[in-house]
Amino acid sequence: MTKTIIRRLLIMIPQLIVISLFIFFLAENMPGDALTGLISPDIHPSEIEAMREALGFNRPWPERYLEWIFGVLQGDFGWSFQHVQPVINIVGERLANTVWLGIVALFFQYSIAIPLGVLAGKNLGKPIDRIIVVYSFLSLAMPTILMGIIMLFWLSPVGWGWFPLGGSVNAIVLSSGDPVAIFFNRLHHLILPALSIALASTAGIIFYLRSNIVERRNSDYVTLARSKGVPERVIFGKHIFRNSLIPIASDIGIAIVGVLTGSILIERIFNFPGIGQLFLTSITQRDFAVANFLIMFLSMLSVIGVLISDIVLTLVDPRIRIK
Amino acid sequence: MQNLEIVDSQKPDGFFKLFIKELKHDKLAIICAVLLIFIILFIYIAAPIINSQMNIMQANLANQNRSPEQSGSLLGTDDTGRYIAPFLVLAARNSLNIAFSVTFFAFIIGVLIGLFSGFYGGTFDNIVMRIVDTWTMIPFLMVIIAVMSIVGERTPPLFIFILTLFGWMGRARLIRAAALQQKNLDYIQGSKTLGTPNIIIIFREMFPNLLDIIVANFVITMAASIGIETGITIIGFGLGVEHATLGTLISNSLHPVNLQFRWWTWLPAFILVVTIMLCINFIGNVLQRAADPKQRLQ
Amino acid sequence: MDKILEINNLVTSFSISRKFYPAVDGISLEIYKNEVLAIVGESGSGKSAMAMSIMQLLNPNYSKIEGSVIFNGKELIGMKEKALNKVRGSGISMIFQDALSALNPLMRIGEQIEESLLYHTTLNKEARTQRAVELLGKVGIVNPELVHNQYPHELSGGMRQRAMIAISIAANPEILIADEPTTALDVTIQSQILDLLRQLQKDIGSSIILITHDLGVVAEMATRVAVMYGGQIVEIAPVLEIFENPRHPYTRSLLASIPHINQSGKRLNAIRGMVPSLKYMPRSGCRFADRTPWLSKEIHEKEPTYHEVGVGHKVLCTCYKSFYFENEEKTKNGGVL
Repeated sequence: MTKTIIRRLLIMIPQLIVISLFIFFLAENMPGDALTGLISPDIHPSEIEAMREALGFNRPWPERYLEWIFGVLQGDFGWSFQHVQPVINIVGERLANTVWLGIVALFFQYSIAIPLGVLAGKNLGKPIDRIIVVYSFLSLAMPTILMGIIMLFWLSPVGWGWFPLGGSVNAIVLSSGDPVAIFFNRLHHLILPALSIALASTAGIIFYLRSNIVERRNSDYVTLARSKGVPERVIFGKHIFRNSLIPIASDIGIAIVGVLTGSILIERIFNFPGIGQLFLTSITQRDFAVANFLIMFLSMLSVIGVLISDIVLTLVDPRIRIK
Repeated sequence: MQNLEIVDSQKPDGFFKLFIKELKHDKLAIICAVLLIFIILFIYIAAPIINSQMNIMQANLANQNRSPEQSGSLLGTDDTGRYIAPFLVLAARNSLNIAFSVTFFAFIIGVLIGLFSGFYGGTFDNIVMRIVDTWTMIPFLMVIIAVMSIVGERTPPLFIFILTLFGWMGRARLIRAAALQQKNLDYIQGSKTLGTPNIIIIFREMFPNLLDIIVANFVITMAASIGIETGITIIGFGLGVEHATLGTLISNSLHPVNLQFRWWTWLPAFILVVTIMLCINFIGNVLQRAADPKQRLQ
Repeated sequence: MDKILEINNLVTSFSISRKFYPAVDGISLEIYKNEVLAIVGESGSGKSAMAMSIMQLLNPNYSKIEGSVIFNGKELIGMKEKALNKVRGSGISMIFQDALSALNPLMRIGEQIEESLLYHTTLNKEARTQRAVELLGKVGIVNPELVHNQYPHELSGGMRQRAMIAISIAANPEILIADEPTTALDVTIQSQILDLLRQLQKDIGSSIILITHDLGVVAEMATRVAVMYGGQIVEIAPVLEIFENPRHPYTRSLLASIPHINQSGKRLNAIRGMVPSLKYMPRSGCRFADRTPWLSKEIHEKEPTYHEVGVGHKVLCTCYKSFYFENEEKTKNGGVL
């Protein structure tokens, strides 16, 4: 297994290099840099130009690329001109919010999708299966963002008012200092956005699980197990379900990335202060240092996500483990 | 020579026939198909008429924010005074056009890459798949948003281009997997031994056999493309008002006042886009069942 | 001889486009203690369907079983799941054709054997493990402790087959149904597996229902042979009798189509036409009639019945009396082959 991981990591390195080059060129073409924000009536453009020269912004791109990379590796992620702080400071607080959002979303996603997938797979063709399939199609047809709008409409003060309109935590509760109250309030704010992300992604898992179950239900080894006189419940639990779940479990790395991508849209709808929203505002306000960093960060996460998926697969599927 | 009597001869149904067969057994899909055809016909016939009859885009501040009852028009007006109803039709057409273009180009790229990679296999396939993997790891949504925000002019071709740029990978993977399977089948091997040039094998023999999954996947990708484009437009990084899509209308819902009090500005577009996506998905599912024997209800 | 299994008028139908078509069309059989009954037929004859029907392993959504299967005095058709599961594995068990797909790829071999022991014995975990290792040794696996902890994909084809046999005999079944046990194997391994089965049969004292299309296997293993065509048994006889004195046209055609080493120069006898598919199977009269078009229709019965032509030797339909091969006819009339 270590061999697989090492091989994976070795492949990851050129992949990361290629991706970082791509992002670098993307950044190159974005107007403005860290000094753009300094333009004001007081300072003459030529002075800024001189500063640029001094700071080395006009050097050839390979130099700047390498400098960027080395900086990143040492933890220097650049300077946000807009917030007049190192990028890393701004991202920090938001990141925690989005991470929580992601965790709750994943939790919802799997808690809904797995039971439904099992129900559908077990009862193929029967009414419950058809209902679940229709629901899955509905969820497919609702990209995350539309789901978010619906949620917002029905469950926020606009509709029934069960959930807050946005934000991550109520300011009053926060100032009270009560950790339990704060925790539950945060949770309260998380539920709608997390549910929106989750509901939009359940379709894929449900369909996959369902078809896995159906496929294995008719397989030879299930027939053999039956011919041994194994009770039906055990056949389903041990032989069918376990085997069906494996490809889904191994997709968790990709699911994580999917949730983070979805958060970009959802955080906008719900005004949720996470890195998704940060990305959007930094783009609109031309704070490309932050935007750049976030793109790179998410790419890194994608790469790590694939790595995690591989590791999980190696752990649970003996066919891959023993080579 | 003895004449071998053929006791049982039944030609397997072609893809289209299978599709119709599956369709007949799926009432929901039939409803969707009819509904979808109706919607599409209406949109494409009404749009040119609307374009020639009235100037939708003209803002008329005197007419702002009228509800359907107030304005006398079916869907009222938005905050610039435009009538929503005709706007909806034009926007729907744009949504469909863009989604179709993106899917079309993504398929051309994806199918070509998948065919060649799957057919040749080996190191070539490995390298190609690594590239596909790497490309997939780039967070496409962020890049699209970034690009759309830095360009001076958001033109449809650019938008379609950038969406296609990140939309072909799934198709390539799918076709490549199918091609790998087909490659080892006897009819391909047979052609190879006959000395048929590879290009001919790929396009004349393998490709037609993959047509059913291609068609099924095309339809489903259409729905997904509509979804992605709408999402990007809703948060404001799509095309401008001249090329408004359904997402543009739905983005009205981001203003709490609209969300709560002026349903006509966004809800019709919302319902329309969901309906279209749903119908396409149901039909696509029937196509998938026709393409994959394991999933058939028969 | 003791009768342990009695099949009466078994009809197993499969659904095609929502209509049911019988693949097993009225089979009646008896299985005795310590015998090896071979069921011979081409694909499409219904032999596998019959095997699966005995233990009701078919998918109830697509199949219907009618008739009676009595095992040790109890009727299996319609038996409740719980009681049926007691019979499966310990009363009757099965070996499948392809060991690779018949074994759970994510479970160790030992675990799969112990599963059978878990439900049919009262042994504790340690005893089960011990017994599983013993069984692996019994089926001729060289290092059973190692194999016990391995996964199916780590074994060779022959070893997998042996492992599957170990699973099936774990609970000492009285009847072992072997569905094409050697078809997927190399010829050298085939004979090893057959030897193993013979050995096990003697050791455990179980009967074997051997389903195959390979007459060589039949000759080696069987004590009795039943020939199936179109869902029916067309001939049944002790093994020597079948080879020396076949009567039914189908049986004779099957035997005649085996190439002989001394046959050089003669044209190979092939049976004309094809086995009709399930949907298009003729359901009245002699089903083999269409395959012998050079014979008159009169020789077949309208409603074929069984006729005794020897001790324990029965044939379906009267056509056996007037059957001759097609090229025999031509030479009879002085024609050219």
